[in-house]
Amino acid sequence: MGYSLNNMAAKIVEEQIIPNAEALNCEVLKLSNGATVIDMGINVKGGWKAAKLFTDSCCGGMGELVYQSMYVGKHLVPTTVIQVDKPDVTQLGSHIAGLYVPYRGKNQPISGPLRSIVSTDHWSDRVAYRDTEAKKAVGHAQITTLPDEELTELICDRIHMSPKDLYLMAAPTSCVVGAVQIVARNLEQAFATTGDHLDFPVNSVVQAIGYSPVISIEDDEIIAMGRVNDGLIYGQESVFYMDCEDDDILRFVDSLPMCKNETVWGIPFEDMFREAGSDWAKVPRDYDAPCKVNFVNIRTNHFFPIGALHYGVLERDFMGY
Amino acid sequence: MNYSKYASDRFTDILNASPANCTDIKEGASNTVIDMGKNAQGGWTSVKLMLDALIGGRGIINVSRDLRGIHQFPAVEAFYDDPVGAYEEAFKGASEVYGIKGDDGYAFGVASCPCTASETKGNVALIGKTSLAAAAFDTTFALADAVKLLLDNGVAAENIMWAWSFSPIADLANDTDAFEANKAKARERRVVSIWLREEDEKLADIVGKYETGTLRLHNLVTARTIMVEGPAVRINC
Repeated sequence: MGYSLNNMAAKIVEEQIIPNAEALNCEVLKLSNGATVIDMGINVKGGWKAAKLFTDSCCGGMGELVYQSMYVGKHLVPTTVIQVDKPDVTQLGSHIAGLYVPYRGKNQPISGPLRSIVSTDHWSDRVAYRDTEAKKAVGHAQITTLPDEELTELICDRIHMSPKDLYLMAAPTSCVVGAVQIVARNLEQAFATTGDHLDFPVNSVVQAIGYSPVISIEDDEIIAMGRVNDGLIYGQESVFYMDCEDDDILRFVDSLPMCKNETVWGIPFEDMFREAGSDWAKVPRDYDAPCKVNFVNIRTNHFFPIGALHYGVLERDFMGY
Repeated sequence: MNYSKYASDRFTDILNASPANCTDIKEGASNTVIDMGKNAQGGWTSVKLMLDALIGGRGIINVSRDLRGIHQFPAVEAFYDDPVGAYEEAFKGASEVYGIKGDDGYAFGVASCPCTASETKGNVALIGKTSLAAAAFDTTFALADAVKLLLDNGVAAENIMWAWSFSPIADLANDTDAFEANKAKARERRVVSIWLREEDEKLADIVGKYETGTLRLHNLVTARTIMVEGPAVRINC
């Protein structure tokens, strides 16, 4: 028996989000083409609960965001923990914002299980899973304006689904949903980076879990973009449990972590993003690398921690210096 | 999902799990009292439902850990979607009985004294003075004190957006004086973050008035954090 990431995600939307939209500080909008847009931070406040549901559904219902806390220097800060089943499928096939849609002069990234209906990008190509049973398509947008008929139809054209079957969640970076759901892309980021190395054995990742701090939330979209991504490139720690040969891991030790970029290590992401014209598609791949990944090889019982956190940048972002 | 219905449903959850959850029920003419810490032992199950009820389900409550050197103890972490609502619904103007009001008395009231509990209409949790429930309930004041401070000092309610708090659970003790001292120690180590919109100067003035624990005010407009930690040490003001 197969499983449908989109149907599981749709269940979260239909049972937990839509009926409780008001309490979640969200708004459900039905567009003229039948698409359902769920505003989680554009014209509404959203909240921590909404952020969790955004993320859970973005993992196709096979992952969960749990909140904890961690120390950044002497400051205790809220933290996201991402726990997933079938890590390669939930991340490469669902969570990664890999579908780029040309919209209003920019490349609009879209994430979520709809990427597995037909493979939409080179990351989803890395896994064999295709959601052939999807009755609904569930997608997620990091965006500052409400998705409209044009955007939803562009998305649906790519995945060959009708807009009336689309649920699209949307929030900008500059709100709690944006801050949380982006920094919760710890495993997503680690998989995207490993997924760029075509011979990394993604289907050898047996289990995975990731941690990243919610360093900062602010109104300015560019500052917010910078700081939440600092939370990833300087503050996230993922654990990959692998079943492979040690060499399959060792080959990538030097090319994976953010600290390999000696020329930009310690530079806030806001500065790097500005240099890339504020366009994600133009951000050098190396600038969006996981901070720290702990590889545990269950075949050999060997442990390979790579990378390091940069508490200086994190503390600076936290205080807003 | 409104506050009172959510709170009432959580009260029912505790009721339905009694006595397995170590609580006792007393039905009165105009109220139902759940003893979760006076003569009954209570426990984590009922405590977590109580904490969730008090925020009306508008947020997430975790029981996490407090690191004291090499030792780990319990703490409550709360992620508030509606910090002002959480304060106004359960704490504003309250003294003997806290909690969420319903149409006919409390949807989920919290009292430490049995006489008070028995005289209160509606659904009442009797937490006693030295129980786990009492220790856990004390953690809720971390956010309540901070929001009250902001509102009393002229910050507009609609500008207070989200909050997070970390509050160690006081070590339990049968002796009331010892327990009060433990609660005081726990309060000194509580941490509250509130995301809001206001002028930095005003926040710097307000934050210095926070008397116990660490308060961080994250200004969404200026993207700066103004904070006080421990005994009113101001930072970034």
